[in-house]
Amino acid sequence: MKRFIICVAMLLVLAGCMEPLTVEEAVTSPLGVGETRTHVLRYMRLDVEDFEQTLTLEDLRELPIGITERLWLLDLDLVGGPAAPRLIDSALADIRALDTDSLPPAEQNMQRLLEMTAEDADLSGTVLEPMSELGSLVGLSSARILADMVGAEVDAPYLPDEVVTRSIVRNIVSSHPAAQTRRGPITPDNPDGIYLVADGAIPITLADAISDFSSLSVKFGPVSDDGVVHPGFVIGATEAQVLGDEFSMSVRANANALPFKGLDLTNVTSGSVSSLGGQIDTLFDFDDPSWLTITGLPETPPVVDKLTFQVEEHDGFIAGGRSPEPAGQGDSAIWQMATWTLESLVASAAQDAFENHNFEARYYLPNDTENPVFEVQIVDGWVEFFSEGDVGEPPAPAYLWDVVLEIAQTRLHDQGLAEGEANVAFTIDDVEVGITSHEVEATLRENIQADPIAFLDLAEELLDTSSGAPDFFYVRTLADDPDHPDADWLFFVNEADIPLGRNGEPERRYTYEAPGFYRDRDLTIPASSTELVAGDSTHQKVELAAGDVLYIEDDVGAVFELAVGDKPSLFTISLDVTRVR
Amino acid sequence: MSASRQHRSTRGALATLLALIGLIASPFVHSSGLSSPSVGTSRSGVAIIDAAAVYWNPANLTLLEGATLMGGASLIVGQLSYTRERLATYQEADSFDFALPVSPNAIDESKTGVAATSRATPFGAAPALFYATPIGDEWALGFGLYAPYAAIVDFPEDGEQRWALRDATITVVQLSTAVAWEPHEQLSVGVGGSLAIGFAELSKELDLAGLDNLGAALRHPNIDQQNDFGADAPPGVRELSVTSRDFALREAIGISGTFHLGVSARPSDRLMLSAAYQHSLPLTMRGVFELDMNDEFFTQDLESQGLVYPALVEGDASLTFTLPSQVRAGFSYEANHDWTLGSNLAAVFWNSIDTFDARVQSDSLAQPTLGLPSTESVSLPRDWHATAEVEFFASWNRTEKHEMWAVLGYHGSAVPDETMDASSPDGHRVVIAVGNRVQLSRRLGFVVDAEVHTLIPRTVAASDYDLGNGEYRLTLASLSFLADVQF
Repeated sequence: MKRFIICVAMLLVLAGCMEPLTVEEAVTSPLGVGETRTHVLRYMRLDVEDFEQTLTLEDLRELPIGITERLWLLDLDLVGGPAAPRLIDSALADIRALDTDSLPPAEQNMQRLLEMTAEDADLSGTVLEPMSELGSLVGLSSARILADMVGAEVDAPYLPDEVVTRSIVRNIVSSHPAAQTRRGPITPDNPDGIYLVADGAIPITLADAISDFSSLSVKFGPVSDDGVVHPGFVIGATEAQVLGDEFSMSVRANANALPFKGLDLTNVTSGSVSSLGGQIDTLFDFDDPSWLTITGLPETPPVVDKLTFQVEEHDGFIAGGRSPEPAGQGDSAIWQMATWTLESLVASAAQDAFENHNFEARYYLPNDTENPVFEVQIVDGWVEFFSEGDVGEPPAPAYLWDVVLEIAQTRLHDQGLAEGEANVAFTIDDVEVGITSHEVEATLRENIQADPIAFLDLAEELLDTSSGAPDFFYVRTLADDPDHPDADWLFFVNEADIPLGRNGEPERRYTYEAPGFYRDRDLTIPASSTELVAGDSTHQKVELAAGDVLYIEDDVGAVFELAVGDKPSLFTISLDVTRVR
Repeated sequence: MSASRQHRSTRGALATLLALIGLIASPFVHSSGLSSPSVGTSRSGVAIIDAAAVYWNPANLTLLEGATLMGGASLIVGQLSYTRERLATYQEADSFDFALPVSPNAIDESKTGVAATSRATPFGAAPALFYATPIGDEWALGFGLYAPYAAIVDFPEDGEQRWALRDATITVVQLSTAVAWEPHEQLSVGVGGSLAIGFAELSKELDLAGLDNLGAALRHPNIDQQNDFGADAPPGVRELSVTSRDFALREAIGISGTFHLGVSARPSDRLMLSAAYQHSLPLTMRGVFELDMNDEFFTQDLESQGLVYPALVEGDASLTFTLPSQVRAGFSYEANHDWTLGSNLAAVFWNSIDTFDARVQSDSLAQPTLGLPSTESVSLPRDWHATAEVEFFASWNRTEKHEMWAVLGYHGSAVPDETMDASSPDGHRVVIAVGNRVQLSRRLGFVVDAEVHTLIPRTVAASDYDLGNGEYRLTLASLSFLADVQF
């Protein structure tokens, strides 16, 4: 009916129908050798101020992991003390208090290790085995004598929690590659941007925080890379409440929000390159507190709901040393083994506890206070027994940590576990991280401010404007540019221009063999340089004038001629692109 | 980037949609500029007895001497020129400062001043077919098919008028019927009803800077940029290459109805006094639109902020306006056997048109992240004035079979300077016409009629936002060929 009416109406006025509006199809076929296409590039700015972008927790979780891993938040201190217990301290205190029968085997092992007392020490097979016979002569149990030696009650643990904690951190945590260094600002003093992690701490990134620490089991899991082997120390699912479900992070940027327009020479199609990299110095106004707003942090301090540490046992008995050399350590094979074994943990903890331990005691027969049967002397942990008369062979001298090492191994296997099966584990359960939400925010703010480049990838994700695979892009310097007023430039892309994919890796490899612009088709006479233009000194760039002819190689090795035409308008350039080989 | 007709199903686009509405709404309606010069002969009017009385004054149908058929067509041709004179300051077309003040570096000083003249040659053919017949002694019945408004305008593609109009095809065809009654030999009254079919197609460069939605999108918290875009956008942020988008409204048709009344009195044998009232005609034209959004600014650059359109936005559009009511009065006086004098006066209530209301709908227009809907409506201010028209004619019976006449008239201007632009060229109009009627046989007569309407050249310096400042010239001529047969 409508058609009919139109036809009648048009017939009556002898008019024809207007053709539908269409848009021009872009030619996207690859440019053949000798073929030329003309393309106009535009430089347009959308200079925005206080351009606010907000990322919710969900948004952050959808970002490429490489971006959030790049943002270091803090070094999480695992070690506190009685006055300010932190993660491991609290965990060890908790595990002591738990009913043994309620614990899985590995946790039972850990509890057994922490609860080692002189009373339950089985000296058989250890260097102190002869002490039992000496003790019986003087009417004392070997446990009593051992308690004297370590300075503890018979039924009291002789390895304090703090030394176990320190040993765990030193031997297990700090030996893990991911706990040794973190990324930070690239500065003249630190051109690699790699920083040491604080002692007793593990580096926490935004990726860890937004995953509620579930990333830790991977991050601090098994490692075998470049000869570095570590079994890892975090196992199982980690749960925490760090940022809260309502967390959001808003940034205000001052920037040209539009990308640079460039060309993918392969098919002479347009592409966009993020312009933020060159604006990093002015992107955020750090003098304005509102440049970064963090909301939704929980009122209560962050809590680790579940974080399980594991220490693996060596699959053989490690004998303690028998020599005082090297001084303060001894000659046990334990000191040549990897530090992350349970045996090493025990030896190290005992060494920590007793390296300055001195003790001297003489033991007499009943009713005899003049003539000691034997004497125990400990000097800086080195234990020596001296006996008088024919009372039997005293224990061989050894460092106290050699003694503890052997006792611990025996203790862990006294219920029939085979060597290598006595791994220990402990779980941090419902323990405050030890920092407040405000400290999280402050740290996040300070670290980003100190390392804005780390935030650049995130900003580019927020202001994602890149598209296509351009080989170069057009930049126009404005009239107020002090060095290059009113000039047109072509910038060759560099690696930083390639956007990151979901996996945090660049979306395409940077395969240019001759980046830059050249005067000759053999690419031997450079036309471009990295001179400072528009705040950029990282890109190869060349200033353009109508009539210029340049040569350029793309990412697949094809070479093109760029002939610069007359400017169509102030903020555009026209290029005739010819593939020459 | 590409798009084609297949995108049509995806429907089209955005805030621009508002703009497009604005553009649709602009003045193609017939302010006097694009209207057909005449219906019937140049002499036809409220106090003239011919079959065109079906349109002018149905009361006169009882005065016809018998059944009469009159038909023919008017060929309309014109010359429309617009020499734009920008009085404001503009930025470079390929710059993009979205709020004043514009950076001094971006100001295009060459843009201010007189631009090249845009010319168009409106052309159209307006048919006319009337039939009237007496029914008994006192009654008469009439029918008519005619085009009171018809114009085809084709401005240069890149002319400086393109933000107002590029091309337009506009016609309103009316199918009328009327009945007249003569209660007294000196008095007739009549009433008529009309079914009007409107058809419109037009294209222009739609300036999205003048749309509220683009401004709202940039102000949305996702982008959060205060800007000067919107209906009140200053010239400094208008007519940028990014925001100037090709727009077409096509196949828009509307059907509506109206009525008219008339009365004629003959106080003497030589004098007839007549008056008629034409009721307003509300008309909603519905069609399709296309909007070229094929600029990376709209198709990809701000996608992460929620602003992304397809290259071609397509959808449904409608434009609603009302053709005004009018009151006409006139007389004819037969001075002697050879001469008849007369006059037509009219008051046309264009002042009832304050806005053109347009609406576009396309799923592609929706930008949910930025809160922009798929349907938008906009009112384009017009604020037209009521006009007066006066025409005098003299008719001479040169012989028994040859009659000649001449018409001289003046039509006032409906469009104020503030809303004047190339899509509604209007001004003080002088009307001159001459006609001949030859009685070829007892029943058959033939009319050749020429009429010229010309605007007194109009210079506008107070156009809102500098959109229509400059000089306008318009001349419309019609050459009509009509035959009448009496049964």
